[in-house]
Amino acid sequence: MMRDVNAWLSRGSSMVSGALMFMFVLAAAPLSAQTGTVTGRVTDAASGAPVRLVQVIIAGTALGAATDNDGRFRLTNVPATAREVRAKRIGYNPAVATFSLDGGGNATVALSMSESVTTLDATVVTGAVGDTRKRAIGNSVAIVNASEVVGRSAVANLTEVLQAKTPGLTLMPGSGTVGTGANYRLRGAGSLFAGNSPTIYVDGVRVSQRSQGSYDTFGQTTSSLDAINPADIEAIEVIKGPAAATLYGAEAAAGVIQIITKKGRAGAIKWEARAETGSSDWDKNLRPVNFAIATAARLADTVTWPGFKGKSLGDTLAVRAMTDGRALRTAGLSKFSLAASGGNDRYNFFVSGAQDKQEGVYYNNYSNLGSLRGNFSFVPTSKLTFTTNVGLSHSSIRLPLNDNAALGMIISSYLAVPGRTYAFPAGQNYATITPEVSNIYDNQTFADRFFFGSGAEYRPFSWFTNKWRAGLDVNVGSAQLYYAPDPRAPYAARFSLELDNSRGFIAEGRPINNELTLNYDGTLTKDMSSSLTSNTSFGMQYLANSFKRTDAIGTDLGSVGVKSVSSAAVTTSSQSFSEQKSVGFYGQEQLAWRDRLFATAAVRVDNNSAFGSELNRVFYPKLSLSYVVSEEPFFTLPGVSELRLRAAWGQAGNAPGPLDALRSYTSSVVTTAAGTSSALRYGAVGNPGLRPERGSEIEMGFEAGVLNGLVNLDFTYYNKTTKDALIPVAISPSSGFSGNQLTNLGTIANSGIEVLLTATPLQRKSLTIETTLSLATNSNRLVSFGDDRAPIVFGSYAPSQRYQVGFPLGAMWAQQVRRNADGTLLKVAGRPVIDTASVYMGPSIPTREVAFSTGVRVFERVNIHGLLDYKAGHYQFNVKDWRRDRAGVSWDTVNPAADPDEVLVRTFASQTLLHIQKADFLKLRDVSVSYDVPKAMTRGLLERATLSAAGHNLKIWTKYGGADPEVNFNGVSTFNRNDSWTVPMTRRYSLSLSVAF
Amino acid sequence: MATAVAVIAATSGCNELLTVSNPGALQEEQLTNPALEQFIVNGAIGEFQYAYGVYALYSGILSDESFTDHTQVGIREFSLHNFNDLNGTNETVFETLSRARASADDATSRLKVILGAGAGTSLNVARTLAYGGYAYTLLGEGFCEAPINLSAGLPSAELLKRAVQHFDSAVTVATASQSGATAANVAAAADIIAMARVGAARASLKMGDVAKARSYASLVPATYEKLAYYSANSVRENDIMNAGIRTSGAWMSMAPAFQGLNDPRAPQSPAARLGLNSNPIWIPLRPSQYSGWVATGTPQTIDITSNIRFASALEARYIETEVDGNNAAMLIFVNARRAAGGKTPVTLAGPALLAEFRAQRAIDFYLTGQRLGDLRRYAAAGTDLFPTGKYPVFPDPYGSNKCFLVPLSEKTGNPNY
Repeated sequence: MMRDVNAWLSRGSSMVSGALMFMFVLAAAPLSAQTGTVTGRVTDAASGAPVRLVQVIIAGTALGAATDNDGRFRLTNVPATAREVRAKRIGYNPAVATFSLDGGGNATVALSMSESVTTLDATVVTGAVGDTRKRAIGNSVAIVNASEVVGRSAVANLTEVLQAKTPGLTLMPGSGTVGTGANYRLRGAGSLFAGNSPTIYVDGVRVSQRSQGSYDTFGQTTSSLDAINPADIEAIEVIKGPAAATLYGAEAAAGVIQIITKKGRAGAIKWEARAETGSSDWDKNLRPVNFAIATAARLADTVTWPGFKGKSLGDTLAVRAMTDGRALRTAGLSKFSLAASGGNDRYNFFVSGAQDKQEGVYYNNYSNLGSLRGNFSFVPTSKLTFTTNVGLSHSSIRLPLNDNAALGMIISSYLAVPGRTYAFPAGQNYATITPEVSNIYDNQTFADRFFFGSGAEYRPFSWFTNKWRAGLDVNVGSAQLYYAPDPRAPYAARFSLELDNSRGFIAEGRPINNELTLNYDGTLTKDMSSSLTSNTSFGMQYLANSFKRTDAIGTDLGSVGVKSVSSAAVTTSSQSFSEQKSVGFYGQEQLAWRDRLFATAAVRVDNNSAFGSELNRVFYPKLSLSYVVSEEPFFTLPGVSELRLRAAWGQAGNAPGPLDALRSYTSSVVTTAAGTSSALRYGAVGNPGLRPERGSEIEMGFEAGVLNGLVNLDFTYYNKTTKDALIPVAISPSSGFSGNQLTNLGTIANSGIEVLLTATPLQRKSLTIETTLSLATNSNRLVSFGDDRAPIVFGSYAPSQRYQVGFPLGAMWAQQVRRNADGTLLKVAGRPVIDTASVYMGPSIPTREVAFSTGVRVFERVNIHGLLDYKAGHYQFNVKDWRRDRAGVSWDTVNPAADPDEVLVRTFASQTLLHIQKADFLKLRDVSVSYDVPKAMTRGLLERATLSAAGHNLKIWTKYGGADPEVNFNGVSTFNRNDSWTVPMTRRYSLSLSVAF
Repeated sequence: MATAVAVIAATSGCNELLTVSNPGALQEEQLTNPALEQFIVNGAIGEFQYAYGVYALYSGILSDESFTDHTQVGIREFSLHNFNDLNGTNETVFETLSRARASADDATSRLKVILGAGAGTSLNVARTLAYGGYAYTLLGEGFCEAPINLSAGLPSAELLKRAVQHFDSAVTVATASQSGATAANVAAAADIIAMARVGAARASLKMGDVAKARSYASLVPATYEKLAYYSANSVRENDIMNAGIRTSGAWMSMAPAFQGLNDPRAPQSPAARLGLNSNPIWIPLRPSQYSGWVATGTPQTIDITSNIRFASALEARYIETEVDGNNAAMLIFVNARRAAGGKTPVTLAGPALLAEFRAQRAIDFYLTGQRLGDLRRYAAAGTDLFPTGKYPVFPDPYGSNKCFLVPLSEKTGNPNY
């Protein structure tokens, strides 16, 4: 389909090529010739210990190197005119030293770096151009030191790396099923239907967040983000809303997460290896006990109720779900990784390989990931640097049937009446299916991911910087679903794709997703006066995504041995395709006064293939102010050594889906007496006026260092409003079209605070204690639908959630039974009566999140770390207990002493008031202990050796009625939340050994 | 500099950069292409067949043909005949029937553009008119009221009146097409004419114009039948009735009114099975209006390829007989139908004969979407056969819904609501 997008950009030759050519012309300049060598060492200002992995650069050039394990570096080809060397590393204040090349062209410098938590001079790469030091940026940027997290915790994937590390980033993992994805949300939900997941970049290249393409498991789905090996990540930057993400344009209103992978360093080749083994399980105390009373009928019918043999009238049978060893296992895990890095001042490299294997607690659940990565840097001249990042991964995942499926193990065991036997494929203690049958479910997904990013940084003059970046993220999946024919009847474990597959079934799907990123940033720096510096930046970004999926399905396979679609008696196929492209340009002016007061103004203009044909461009402005007030001579605040004030206002967009704007018809099929023919079918109603949602955000805050940096406080208040929110306006079906037409109507508000408090209450050689407390709040509200409409009610099991003006998006609403004036149950014909008025319960997503972590280092050898994660303010629909009450297996309904009216209410299907419950919880998310083996013990063979023991999800404290309120039957769903037939977060223990040599 | 870049951008153009493809879609302007004529007609037939399957399934639940043991609250409330305009099942029926109606009407309009003067003698135009007439008929029979293309809600009588108009037009066009046509086309036109006449008789009967109903019915050939075709090719082409009774997770049961008849025309599973709530349900097996039905021997299950006869000479004969009144001819007719069910003759008269006539009609057209419209007109005439009292497998009583509702989604987007 050709799409006319012309208006703001008139027809002509390729814009990108023109722009890039222009930028190259600007960049052209002669290269320097006379050079020398600078060597040196970087040490910790407090301890004098060497600091490794410090990025050292020659000011005004692209020359750089990283320090080795002894803190040493060497830079060659340094221009004779160079005078300054700068050092930076996450967690330290930058350091600067001057030098002059001697007659032989050599210089030696010593750099001392002090640890800093506020890291005002740390540079960031996400959402910032020009001066990218934190001090110059008016919005907050959270940085997660991923390599540290991975090194000390039993994290399994990217989600767990980020979990409870950054205030404002809410991660809802959904399930303990290994290989399944999570829902990400930054600063609440700014959109009803255009998505609330932040955009994710890896080393400047946008990457896919789609499912790996697995077939339906009736809830959980895989995530391509899990194909990123956490061990390859150096750091993760998080910018949380439109105020920070303006320069990312129309697809960044939900924030941006940038993953920065590890880079090489100068020096001899260093090897690092890590091996980890462990296990995970489903705590039996998090599974319910079902009850049944011995009645005369049950005692008499020993065929249906064999479990009551030998029992007496009134006896109680109690069975805890899935404790017979047939359904669950203690799942194993193993991880191996090997990395090498090295280089010199001209080039460096980092290469790694890893193999992760994780079993799920179900016998047919596993997730394996193999990955290779290579990051290379080449510095041909002092003014030019090339970088290339290549990543390859292969994942294989098998998922069990659960979640919203009637034939999953959880529903089968949770609803089984003790003592009763059920017909095949069910059995005693399994109401719908036994473990032996359920484990046949063979749903596998394989995915190959190829990531390539390459860039160049060119500084023709000290005042002019150019950065190019091009990247491609390709995901090629293969989803497979298979059932062998089985003559037993009725055979109920065949419940996929809504096809009758009782005679054997095979399906194979091939999803292919491509993400292309082209990026240019240019910055002109000019000292306007001795106090005032100007950074003028400009750039463009081109993003293209395409997704194609082909499925081949065969039923009636005839024989157990046949596993080929083409051999099936009945074959069908399907195909889907979508494509979305966007282009954006920006300009930014940043003024710095005395390197302590920074004012920034920027604007980005975007066009996107997903916009309606009536829209040609959108503008996103941005303003920010940063003031390091503590560097003012007049600043005196007792105990406060560092204080920065900041404020930012900005806008960013949230583009509609690729085809949302287009009215279209599709080709379908019709069965006639003569066979099958193609047929016209109504497709999408479209909306030619469709435009992106516009998020506007103001955030204000400060960072303060207190007590000489022993305590650091980072505080942010944000207030975000989404206008033109895409609202699905129901299409009147009488028009022939059905479903919804996305229309820019709504207004959504989010506000809250984020606090990050870090403290080092004790810092001695024998004992160091570091603590971090993060707190985030979010108040979310649908301000307006934009028209006069009734609330949108939804829910997978009951009308349990709503979009209603004045309330949080997707909030929980309950149905209650009617009561008489005296409070007794109102009954009609012996049955309760549902009240037509619903009861507002509360948000479905946490509104208060607190994470508290402590690190203790003893004698510089033993490290102990713990992380507590608290989420509160929200409600969850406890579907498991709602259904167990209805099935009459819970103690509340079986207890002979229970109030009959109370039992009647509990078993009344339409009521949900008793089962939409407060979901506050506190989890002991991580505990780890590690020991750095003395070098002498390794006889000098190893430079470093660390033994660690770690646990994950070890304990939960909650008043929620179910086992784990964090569960969601559809892990990646933005709003739809139910604690139904889903595995809760499992406990995980691991032992690891990491060595460097 | 930023301005310079913007200027370059503005003068370079980005059409090609933002061009995307959508290979699976057609645009509105492409639908007047003469090469797409049959494609468009197939679309109208396909939408009707899908909608008809949905209507046959859920109108049976809303009448007294079947009930469900389903975990989904929306389906449960629908099954209890106690639902409102938010109910998803009710909405599905309205959506699919409205789409079938719109597809047929749009196809007729598009064919008129494509064919010009030839539309008046086009078999395809006659087809789309006839299928459209059936969509109007089902809307009129099943819905308390229903809007057409964003109109205000139209009462059943108006919908049925429009159905008859469509059928009349179909007969006119099909008849005109026979002039000078090949034998095959003459036969095809006759098929459409008979289909339209059964439909016109049905719609007339249910709007109370019995004389007209009889007039249309009397012209239907003795062996005529028209099927809605289903196959395993795709989910959309499946006979959706199978969704409720398939071996994996059955949730639909024959209702008590039809259980234990021991009549091969409406057979049931020999033993109860467990529904989704583990309550006992009796699966309806393949009834007589479904392809593959067997009069004797072991009844077959309704599978995804079972075609459903939605218009037939038998229906026309029922209409003629009913209009003629409960007389001796009706008794002969009733006993003939009883014989088809393996039952002995009866000697009834008056209201008892009429009741038996209705019972035979219910059995003969079991699970074909006739029953709801019949119950509504019986109730309007003073005989309410809708189920009441306790629901078969839930402790709750039946509610008072007796027709499908205009869903909230229609009311929200329709300016005439």
